[in-house]
Amino acid sequence: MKTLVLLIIIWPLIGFLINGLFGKWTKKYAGVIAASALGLSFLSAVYPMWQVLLGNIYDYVYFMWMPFGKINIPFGLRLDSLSTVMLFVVTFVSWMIHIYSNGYMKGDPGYARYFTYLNLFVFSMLLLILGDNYLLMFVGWEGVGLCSYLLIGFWYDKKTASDAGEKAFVVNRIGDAGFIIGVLFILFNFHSVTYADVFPFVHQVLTPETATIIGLALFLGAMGKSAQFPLYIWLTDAMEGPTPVSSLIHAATMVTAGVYMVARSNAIYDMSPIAMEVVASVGAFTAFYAATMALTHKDIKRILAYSTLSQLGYMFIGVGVGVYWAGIFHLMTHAFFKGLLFLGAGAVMHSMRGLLSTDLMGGLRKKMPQTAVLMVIASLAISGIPPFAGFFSKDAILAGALDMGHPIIWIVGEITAFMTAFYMFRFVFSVFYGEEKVPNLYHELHTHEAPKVMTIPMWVLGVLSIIGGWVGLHISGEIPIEAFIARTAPTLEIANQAHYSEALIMGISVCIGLLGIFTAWVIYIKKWITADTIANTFRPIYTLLANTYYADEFVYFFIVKPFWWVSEYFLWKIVDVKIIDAGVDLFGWISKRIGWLFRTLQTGFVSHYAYWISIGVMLLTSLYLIRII
Amino acid sequence: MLAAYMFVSVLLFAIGATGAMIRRNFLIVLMSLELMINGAGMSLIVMSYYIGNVSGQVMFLFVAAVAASETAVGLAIVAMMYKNKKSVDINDFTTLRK
Amino acid sequence: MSVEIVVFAILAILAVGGGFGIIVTKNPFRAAMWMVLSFIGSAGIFVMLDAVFIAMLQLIVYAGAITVMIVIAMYTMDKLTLSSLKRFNNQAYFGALFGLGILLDFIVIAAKLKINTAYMGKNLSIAGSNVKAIGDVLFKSYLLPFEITAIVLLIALFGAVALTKKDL
Repeated sequence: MKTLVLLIIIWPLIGFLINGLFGKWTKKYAGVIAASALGLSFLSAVYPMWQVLLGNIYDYVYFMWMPFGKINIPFGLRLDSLSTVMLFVVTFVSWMIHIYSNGYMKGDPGYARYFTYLNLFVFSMLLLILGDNYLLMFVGWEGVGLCSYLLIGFWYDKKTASDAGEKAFVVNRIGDAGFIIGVLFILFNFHSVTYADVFPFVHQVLTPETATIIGLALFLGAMGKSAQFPLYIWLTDAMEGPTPVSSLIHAATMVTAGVYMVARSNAIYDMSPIAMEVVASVGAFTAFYAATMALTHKDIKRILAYSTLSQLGYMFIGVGVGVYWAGIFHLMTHAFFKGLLFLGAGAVMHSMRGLLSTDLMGGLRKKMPQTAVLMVIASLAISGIPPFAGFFSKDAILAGALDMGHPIIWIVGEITAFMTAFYMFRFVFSVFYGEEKVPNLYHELHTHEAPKVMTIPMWVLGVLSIIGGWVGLHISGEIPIEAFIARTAPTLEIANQAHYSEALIMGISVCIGLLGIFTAWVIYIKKWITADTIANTFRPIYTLLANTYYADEFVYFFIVKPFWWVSEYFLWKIVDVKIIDAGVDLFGWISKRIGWLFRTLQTGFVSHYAYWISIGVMLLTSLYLIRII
Repeated sequence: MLAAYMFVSVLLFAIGATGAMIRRNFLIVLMSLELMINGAGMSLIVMSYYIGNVSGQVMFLFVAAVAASETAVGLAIVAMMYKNKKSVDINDFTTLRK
Repeated sequence: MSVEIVVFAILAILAVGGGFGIIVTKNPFRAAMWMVLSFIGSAGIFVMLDAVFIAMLQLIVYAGAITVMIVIAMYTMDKLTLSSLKRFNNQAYFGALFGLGILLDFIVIAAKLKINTAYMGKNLSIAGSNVKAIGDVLFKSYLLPFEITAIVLLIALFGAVALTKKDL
């Protein structure tokens, strides 16, 4: 069993090494190797996952990674209910996306490199979720950040792509500073970073104040990694990377690491209502903010990127109010339907030879029927329509928010749900329904359905988007997924926890979702009111949203430019040139002067040498005299 | 009296040293060197008298022998100097300068 | 004022005055003459110190052989080049200063000498004559340095010849 658990993370590592070292020779088979590695990883995980389902917990230490005497940091893997859910999501969805990538990346010159990075990414992600201590989680954290950078800037000769990669990495780093501070606090207080040493003793060691500090510091890291406001600016530019990358990293797995981290640290967050309030508020704000921006964009990947931001906000609402199981549940369903949405967008781009503006599409359903059906399924899931997956998880979060006493967050969440349904179906209707906006474009581009290697994984995810939420149904009195996750991350118990009528809440959510779909139908299919009319009526708001609230410009003027100014005029011109260079030059100058001094002594005149000799004699005798006087 | 003898000896040495430093004519420098040696030797003889050991005078013998040979070699050098540059001015011989 | 001191004073003035003469005069031939005078003074002092053999030696070797050597070397040269226009170097004052410094240093040392004068002046009375005294020590205890000095002289001869050869 111990080796089996280790194998789960070793398979992707082996795939990475094979493709990385021997990529030149495995050129054509790189994709097969990578996908098989993931498949093997998933298969290795099946038995352990089933065992955990039955109630076992596995915590294995493989070797002592950093033994410092009093503080020992082990290299260990922990499989409990929380990591099992994450494990299932990561291995299975990654496997599907690897298979899909075989078709999508075919013919790309960097084929082997792509799969190398993908396998490395999965390895880091698995390390993140299976590690049994914060430091190992941080190793995985950094690893996925690195792979994100590598994969976003995959087509590195394109300046926008490499800039986007850099932006992602730098913004991520800002969050990481917070994460490190949090881990250091934990290390300082508990003298250990292992989960088993920290969480059972939280009440004895921490005060609410220290718990707040730790919680906020760790959340800063989550904000960077999971792109919450204001550290979200990298996620939209990250769409420069290949679409499967966007699907895997920026929808299903990496960006959810922050949510996992908060859920894992539930014991610490339970002690600090302030930190939880911050988490939930930031999540709610981001959800609303991102959804507003998705209303106006025409780039299909951009829309999905803002949608991801918004759904991540939902997840943070879930873990922020205390219903940890709901946040993780939504993470799982989101991986299914958002992964599918991105894969579908990829299929559309693949058949449109890389074009991605909705202005150029329309009526694509005739050319790509399977993709269209799948995208509708996924959109229904994300809009929260039963019996699709998204309904159960989103409803659990919003009901939880209301029950835990955050009515404002509930209202914001419902408004955002309306917007979500609206923009998703705006996307679906403008791309797949209606007429071709540019006549004969499809004929010229030879638009056709995606190959089977791409559609089969999409169908698998589609099925999961339908049935994946059914673990959230009340079965004999309890919700299976809630009970399962609550073994590791129990829902917060608070006084006067309300229990609003479940049916009423569900009904309201469904109505709002249907309302959003109806509005999109009205505007984009029936065209009773066209989108342009609305845009012209609310021109100022429209401009603000279309330009993403000018956030990038804001950052550029207020953060980047001052930074550059200080670097150039102060640090370079003054510190580097005048102080450091002058200091080094001083040594050169001293050498020159000493050399000059000695050079001028060698005059060539013998009488001068005689002088020096007599001076030496005088000095020697004077020294002798000083001793005897 | 000892102090007086030593004073003379030291004076001779100092005069010789000064001469070796300040004169331009190389032959006179050689003579100043002889003077220095003579001064040092005199102190040997003085000490031999006052300590009562004749070894001091024997040492002076050796010193005188070495001084003579040194002067001989110095004169050979003078001859070469004169042959090269037709001058015995020490300021003319500055090839060590570079 | 004993005779001894007067005699010593005269001899000392001879020796030191000769020295001054050497370093001050312009003509090197005159300088050689001053050198002889200084050596004569030194020899006189040696006689006062009961080292008669050494005094004779001084006159023969120093005043005789060495001075003659120098003068013969001077004969081969042009008179004008010998008495060059300038006597002293450019930094002559410094030289004088250093000389003064050396003088002062050594005077202080000389003044602070403390020796055991138990056997003062005994070397003549023990051996009988200075020559005997020197001979006694030279060919018994200092035989090796004696032989080596002989070799030194030989090598100086070789050196002088080698330096002046046209082709080696």
